[in-house]
Amino acid sequence: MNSISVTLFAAGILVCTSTGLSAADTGPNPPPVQTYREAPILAERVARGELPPVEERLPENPYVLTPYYEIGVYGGTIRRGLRSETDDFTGINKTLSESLFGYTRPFPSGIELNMAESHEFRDEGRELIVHLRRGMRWSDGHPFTAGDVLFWYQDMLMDESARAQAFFPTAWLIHGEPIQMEALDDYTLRVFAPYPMGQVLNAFAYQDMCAYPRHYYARYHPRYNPEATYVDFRRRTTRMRLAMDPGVPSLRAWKPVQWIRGQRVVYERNPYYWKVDPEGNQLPYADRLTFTFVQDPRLIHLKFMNGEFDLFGRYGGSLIYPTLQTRRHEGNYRVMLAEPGRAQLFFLNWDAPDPNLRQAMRDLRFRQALSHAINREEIRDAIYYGVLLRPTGYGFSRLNPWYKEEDYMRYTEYDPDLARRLLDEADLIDRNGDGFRQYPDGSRVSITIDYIGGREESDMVEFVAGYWEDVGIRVFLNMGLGNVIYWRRHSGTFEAFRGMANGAEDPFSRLIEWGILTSQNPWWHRNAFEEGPDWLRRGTELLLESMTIMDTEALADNMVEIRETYSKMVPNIAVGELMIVWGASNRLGNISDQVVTSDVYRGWGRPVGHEQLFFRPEAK
Amino acid sequence: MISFIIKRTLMMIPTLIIISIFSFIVIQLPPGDVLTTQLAALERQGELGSQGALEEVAALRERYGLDRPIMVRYFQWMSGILFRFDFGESFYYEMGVTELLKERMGLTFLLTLTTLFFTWIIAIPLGIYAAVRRYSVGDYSLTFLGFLGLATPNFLIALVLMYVQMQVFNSTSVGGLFSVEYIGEPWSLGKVRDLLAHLWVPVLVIGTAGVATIMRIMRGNLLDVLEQPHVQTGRAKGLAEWVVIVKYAVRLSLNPLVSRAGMELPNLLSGAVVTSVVLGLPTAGPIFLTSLLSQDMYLAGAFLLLSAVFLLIGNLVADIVLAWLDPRIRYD
Repeated sequence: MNSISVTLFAAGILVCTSTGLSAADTGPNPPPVQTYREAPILAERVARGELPPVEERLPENPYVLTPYYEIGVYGGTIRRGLRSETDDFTGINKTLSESLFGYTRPFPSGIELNMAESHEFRDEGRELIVHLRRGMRWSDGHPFTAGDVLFWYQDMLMDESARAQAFFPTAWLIHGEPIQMEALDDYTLRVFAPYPMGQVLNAFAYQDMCAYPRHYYARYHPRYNPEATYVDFRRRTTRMRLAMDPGVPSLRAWKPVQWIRGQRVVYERNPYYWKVDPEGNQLPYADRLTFTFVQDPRLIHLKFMNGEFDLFGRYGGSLIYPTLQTRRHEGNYRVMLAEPGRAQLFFLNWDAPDPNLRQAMRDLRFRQALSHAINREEIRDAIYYGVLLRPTGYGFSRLNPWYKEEDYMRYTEYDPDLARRLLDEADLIDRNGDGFRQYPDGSRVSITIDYIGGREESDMVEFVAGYWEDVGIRVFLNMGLGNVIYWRRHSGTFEAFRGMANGAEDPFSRLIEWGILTSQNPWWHRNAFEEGPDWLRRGTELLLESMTIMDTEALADNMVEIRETYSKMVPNIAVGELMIVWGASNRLGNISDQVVTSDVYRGWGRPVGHEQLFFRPEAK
Repeated sequence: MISFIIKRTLMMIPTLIIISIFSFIVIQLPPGDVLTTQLAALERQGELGSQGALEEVAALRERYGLDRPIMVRYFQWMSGILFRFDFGESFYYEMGVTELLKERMGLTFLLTLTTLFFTWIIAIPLGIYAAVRRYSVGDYSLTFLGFLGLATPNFLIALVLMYVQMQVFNSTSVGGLFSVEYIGEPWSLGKVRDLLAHLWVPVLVIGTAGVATIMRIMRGNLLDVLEQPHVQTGRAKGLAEWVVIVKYAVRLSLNPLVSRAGMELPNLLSGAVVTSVVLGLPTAGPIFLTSLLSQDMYLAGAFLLLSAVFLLIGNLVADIVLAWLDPRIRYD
C-alpha cells in the first residue's frame, strides 16, 4: 500500500531527540508571504466592518500547511454523520484536533510544530521551552497566550476538583510525578520535571486540545471567581460541551455555531484560524462542517452512498466494503483502506479462576500452541474478503517506529502439529481418549471465550474456537452484551476475552496495559504485583525508564528489548490487524490514501486534514 | 353523561398514583445505572483528593435526595413533575428530560398521527370489503397481503424502502424526516415539502403492520354483526344493501376499534422504536431506546410515566366516545 513510507517509518524517524525535531519535520518554513487572502464570506464581513482585515487576524508567523495535493478553493459544507454526540464526540475532537505539537499528516512519520512556533530542550531534557505564535487569536478575537495553556494544565487537569476524569493522564507523569508548566511571558511556556522528559512532545501530540480560553472560562472557575462552584464548572466543561457548546471561543479551524442535541451540530469557519496554505490563503477551505447524528451506522453508510454525506471514517466495518464498492461509480465517491493500528486479540486471563487453567495460561508453551493452532490466512480469506485483515502476531504494529516484521509475525505460522507437540510437552495430554486434553489431575482443558456479539467478530471467534478444539482444547463461547462481558472482564472472572490490542503502535499511550503500574494492572494479569513474571517486571522497568530517555539510540535499545520480550513471551494471542474502510466523495479534493486510523495519532479524523479539504468547483 | 365523565376522570387519580409509584420503583431498581456509576466514580475521585468531585457528589445527592427515605424521594420527584414540569435530568444527554422531550414531541406526534390516519383510512374500507365479500378472491388476497404486512419485520421493510428511495426514486435524501440542510432550520415552505418527501417512508413502514391488524379486526367484527337479526330485518324491509351495511352493521362493529384507538395513544410517544432507529428519525422512540440501554433512569421513568398517562387518557376518551356512540352503554 505505502511500502516506502512504512519502511522509512520503521527506520525510526518518529523518534524525537534531545536536539529537537529534525529539520524536515518542523513543518515548512514560511515563504515570505506578504499578503494573505481569505474566504469570500469573511471578506464580506471585513467590508461591513464586522471583522478586522485578515492580516490583523493572523499571527505574525502563521502555520503554513502544504495541502496534500493542490491549493484549494473556498466554500462549501463538509457533511459528515455520527451516531450520537454522547458516544462519538471524540470523533469530532479528533477531526478538529489542535495541540502545541502534532504528528505529521497524513502519515505519522514524526512530530511537528503546530500551535507552537519553535521549541528547545534544556538541562538534558529536564526543561522544555515552547515559543507560541505571536498574535495568534481565539475565534472571538481575544489574544491566545501561554496563560490559556496553563489554564488547561493547571486549572483543569492538575486541579483535582476541576478535572473531569478520575486519574491524571499517565502521559504527563514521570515516575509518578506530574510534569510542571509555567509561563515565562505571554508567548513563552516553560515545561519542566525533575527527570528528562523523553516523551513530552508525544504527550502534547496525544492531546486534542491543550489550551482553553481563560478569558471565557475563568469566571466559572472557583480559583478566579469566589462565587463560582466546581459543580457548575465541571458541568460546563464536560468533554462533550467543550467540543460543541456554541459561543465558546475556539482555536480550531471551525467553531460550533449550532447544536441541536441528538440531531446535528454545525461548525462554521473560525475567522481567526492561524493556518495558511503556501500561497497565503487562510484555511480552512470549506466554510462549514456539519455532523448529523444518525443512530444506525448502516444509515450513515447509505446516506454516504446517496451523496448526503461527503466523508465517513468511523464505523468502517468490513461488512459494508462490498456494498460500498459496487456503487462507487453511481455514487461518485471512492472507498479507501487505511493502514490499521490495532489487532484482533484474544486476551488470556493470567489469573483465571480455575487454578489449572491459570497455570496453563502462565506456561509459554501453552500460549505458543494457541497461537500456532490458528490458521490466520483462512480467517482472512473466509471472513475478511481476503484483504481486510492482515495476519499478525503479538508485538509492536507497523506504525510503531520500532516495528520489526520478525517479531510481529512470531508464532503466526499455522502449524497444528507443532501446537499439539507443545501442548504434549506442557503435560496437557488426552488421558482418556475423548479427543480433548486433560490436566495432570484428570480434569478437562477448556477455555471460555467472552466476546461482545458483532457480525464479523462473531465469525472470527467461532473460527478460532474450531482451531483450538482441533488441537484438543475444549472451547466454550460466551457471547453477551457489553455490560455483562465487561463486568466479567473488570472483575477478573473471565478466561479469554476477544478485544483489540491497545498500544501496539505506541505503548506509552497505553502504559497501564503494558506495565505493572497499579495493583489492578495490566488488567489481563491483575495479580502481577505479587505474581507477575520477571520479564513483565523488566518490561515495566524499561518502559518507565524510556519515559526519561532523550537519546535516540538509548531509547531504541530499550524499545527493541521490550518489543522482543513481549513478542517472545506472547502474553495474549493476536489474530490480525483490521484494515479500516473509509470513503470520500469525489467532489472533495486533497483526499490522501496515506491516512492512518490509529487512535494514538488522533484516529482517522486528524490525518485526513479536514482544514485542507476543498470542493472541486467543476464537480459542484 | 357529565357525571359519567367526572366519575371516570376521578377514578383515574388513584390509578395514576399507583402507576407513578411503580414508575419510580422502576427508576430506582436497576443496579449500575448512570447515576450510581457516576457517583461511584466521583467518590473514588474524591478519595484521591478532589474537592470538586465531592462537591458534585453532595450536589447530586441533594438534588435527587439520595440520603433521604424513598418516600421522600418519591414526593420530591412527583412535586418536580407536577409543579415545575421537571422530570429530572438525563445524565446521558447532559440536559433536562423535559427539554429533551419537548424538542422531539412535535415531530413524534406528527408522525404517529399521520400514520394512524393513514392506517385507518385504508384499513377500515378494506376490512368492510373483506367481510362483505367473505371467502372471495378479494378477501383471500387482502388477507394474504395483510398477513404478509403483519409478518414482515418493520426494520426490514424500512431498509428495503430506503434502498428503493435511493435506487428507484433517486431521492436526494434517504431516511430521517428532513434533508441534512433543513435540520434545525426555521420552518419554511421548502422545509414542509422536504418533510412530506420523507414522511411517506416511515408512514408506510409503520402503517403496513397497522393496516393488517385493523383490517382483520374490522372484518371479524363486521362478520359477527352481519349475522345479527337487525341486519336481516333491514334487508327484509328492503333497504339498499349499502345502507344496511354502513348504517346498521358497520356502526355497531366500530366499537372495538374505538377502544383500540384509545390504546394507540401511548404509541404516540414511544411507538415504532426500532423503525425510528433504523430510519434515523428525530422522534422520541430512539431516545427511549437509548435511555433503556444506557440505564438513564430519569429519562426512562419519564417515558414510563407519560406512556401510562397517555394510556389512561386514551381509555378515558375511548370510553366517552363509546358512551356517546353506543346507546346501550349505561352511565352508572
